[in-house]
Amino acid sequence: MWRSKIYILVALVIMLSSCRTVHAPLNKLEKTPEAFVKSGKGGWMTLRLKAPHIDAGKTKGGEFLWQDESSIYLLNDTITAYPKQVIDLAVLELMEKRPYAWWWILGSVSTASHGFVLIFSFPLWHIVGIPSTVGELWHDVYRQEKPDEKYWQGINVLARFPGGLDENEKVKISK
Amino acid sequence: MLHKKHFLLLPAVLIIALVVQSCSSPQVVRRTFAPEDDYSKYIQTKDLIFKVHYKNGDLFVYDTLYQSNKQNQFFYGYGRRLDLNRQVTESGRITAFRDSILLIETNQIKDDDPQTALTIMTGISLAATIYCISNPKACFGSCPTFYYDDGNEQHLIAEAFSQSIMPSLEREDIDAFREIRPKTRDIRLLMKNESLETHAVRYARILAVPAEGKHIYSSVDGRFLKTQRESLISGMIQGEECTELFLYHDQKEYISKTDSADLAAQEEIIFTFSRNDIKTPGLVVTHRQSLLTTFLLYQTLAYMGNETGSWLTRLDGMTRGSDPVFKQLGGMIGEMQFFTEDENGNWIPAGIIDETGPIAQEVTIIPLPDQTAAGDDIKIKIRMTKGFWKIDQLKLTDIIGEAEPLIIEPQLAKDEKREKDITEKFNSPEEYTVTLPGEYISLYYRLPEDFAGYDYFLAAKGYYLEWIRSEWIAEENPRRVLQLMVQPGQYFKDLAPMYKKIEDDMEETFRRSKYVAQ
Repeated sequence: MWRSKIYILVALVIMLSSCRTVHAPLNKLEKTPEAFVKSGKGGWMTLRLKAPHIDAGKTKGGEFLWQDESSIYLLNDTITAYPKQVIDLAVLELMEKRPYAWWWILGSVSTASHGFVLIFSFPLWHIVGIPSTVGELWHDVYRQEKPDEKYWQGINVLARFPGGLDENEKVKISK
Repeated sequence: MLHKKHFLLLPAVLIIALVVQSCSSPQVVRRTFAPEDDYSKYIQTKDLIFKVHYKNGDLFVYDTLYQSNKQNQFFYGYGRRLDLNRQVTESGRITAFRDSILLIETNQIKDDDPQTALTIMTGISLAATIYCISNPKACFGSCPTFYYDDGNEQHLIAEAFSQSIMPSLEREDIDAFREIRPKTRDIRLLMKNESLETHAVRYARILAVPAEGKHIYSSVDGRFLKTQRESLISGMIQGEECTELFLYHDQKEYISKTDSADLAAQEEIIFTFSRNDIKTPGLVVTHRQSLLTTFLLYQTLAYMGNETGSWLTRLDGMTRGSDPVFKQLGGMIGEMQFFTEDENGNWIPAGIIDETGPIAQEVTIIPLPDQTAAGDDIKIKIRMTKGFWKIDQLKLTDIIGEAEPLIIEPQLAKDEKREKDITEKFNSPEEYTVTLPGEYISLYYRLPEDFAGYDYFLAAKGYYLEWIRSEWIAEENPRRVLQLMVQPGQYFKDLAPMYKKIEDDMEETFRRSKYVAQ
């Protein structure tokens, strides 16, 4: 029983600890909420596309610049527009995740030195560690399968340009 | 292969994770306003970060103060101006003019960082680690424990054969159910391994003794004595009246402090009972040990260190032979000796209790010898090691005969961890049922039809092997083990300061330290 529990725990922790982000590539997100806000940039958007898009089934990502009625505009190497009707899944992330999973697992392992007091300290670490780890992983992440207009309007404030941008200004944007 | 309960564990963890995920609140709460909207209530709010979006894509980030002038024509404060590529173009006191503004944005950063909870937990965990490293013997429990399950609650009945720390010391241990009265004919007991030990149980039987309206007590020589009538007590400890402490079975226990220079130092208490027409007096003692036994066992195992197996094998052989090492040690420290006063005022031995175990209370009757003075008062003296014994109740009663118990084997023994019927093996006198930490066995017994007319006892036989903790190895010291064998008196003196340091905290730590299945 102990062995299987440890396997599950280790698997879960490895899974969670590898998640410095949900989808965004490393170093694409700010490290703290304040840094994100003050950077003036949008969140990182990851899209899974569907037919009839030429990249149907693939995942594309970039900084969320703005949106209009029909498309989402992301900045990666260049600005790319993705029609809303070909987006199958959208995930918007704002900042990197702190490695609380390691804190949790090291804390849990440290209870081995507690003797029988571990009957309290081991589950207590789980009670504190699981919500902390999972909560850290999923706060400020906006994920939607088959996103609708309500979703797009809800995340609009997290774009770099929530009010959009004049056509003649758009050409000035660079990576 | 995974047990089916284990398959439930992963979904349970995932459900918790999903619930937490769905409850995760954002740390960044952002609102936007058109310049003509009423956002005045947010101005000069310290907890907000203001941003002003220009129509050309520029952004003003105000991180200190945001104000508007009287005509509301512009806004100013301290911060940074960023271009549309978010490069800083200006910092310090910056001004944004209303006619260029596209949007005003407020950002609130919520401080619900789990770091605080994790930091507190780390502090608690470190404190526990430091305590257990400095007092490793205080962090571990002992002995097989038996509970009566009345359907709603589990009641501790006994910790069995606590002194049987190796095969040669295997012996039967009899414990009364005490105030626990079975409510039904079919009952369930739980035999738990709540320690870092391997338990080898030969049997666990219920002994049903017909009470016939009398009280039944077990004596140290395995008899069941029928009694009636009880007598009042009066007693003095170091010149102070202590009667009330011993009158009732109320968990208020007498225990003295150990001697700071010698753990084997003795104390004596003298009690006087009125005879109250008692013809064959027996002293009923409700007692258990302090954690001094546990300390001594664990400290000795620590001194044995990596060579524990070899030391115990040697001791096992000596015990099977005629070497009186354990008897000598028991006599020095582990006995509660009883004496009564005879007609001439001399103290004569009445009996000895050496039942080991710091968890469950035991009730034992000591029949007083015939030479006990025949007057109105009966004087009893108890001699025991200081700080070694806890006494809850003492009462004098009249022994009117012996009773024969019915021996009841479990009808069903179920290994709850493996969900396996082990009845045949459990009831086989040739086999041991072995349990590891966290495991427990359900034992189902069928009592006599008129079950309310009996007093019940648990008779369990077996032994257990203590697991050596890694923290103990550092203390390995074979000279100390030899000292225990050849100079036990000095051994107990040398350990006194060490125990004295942890004596006060050990009880509380031990009480919270039982190990149960996850």
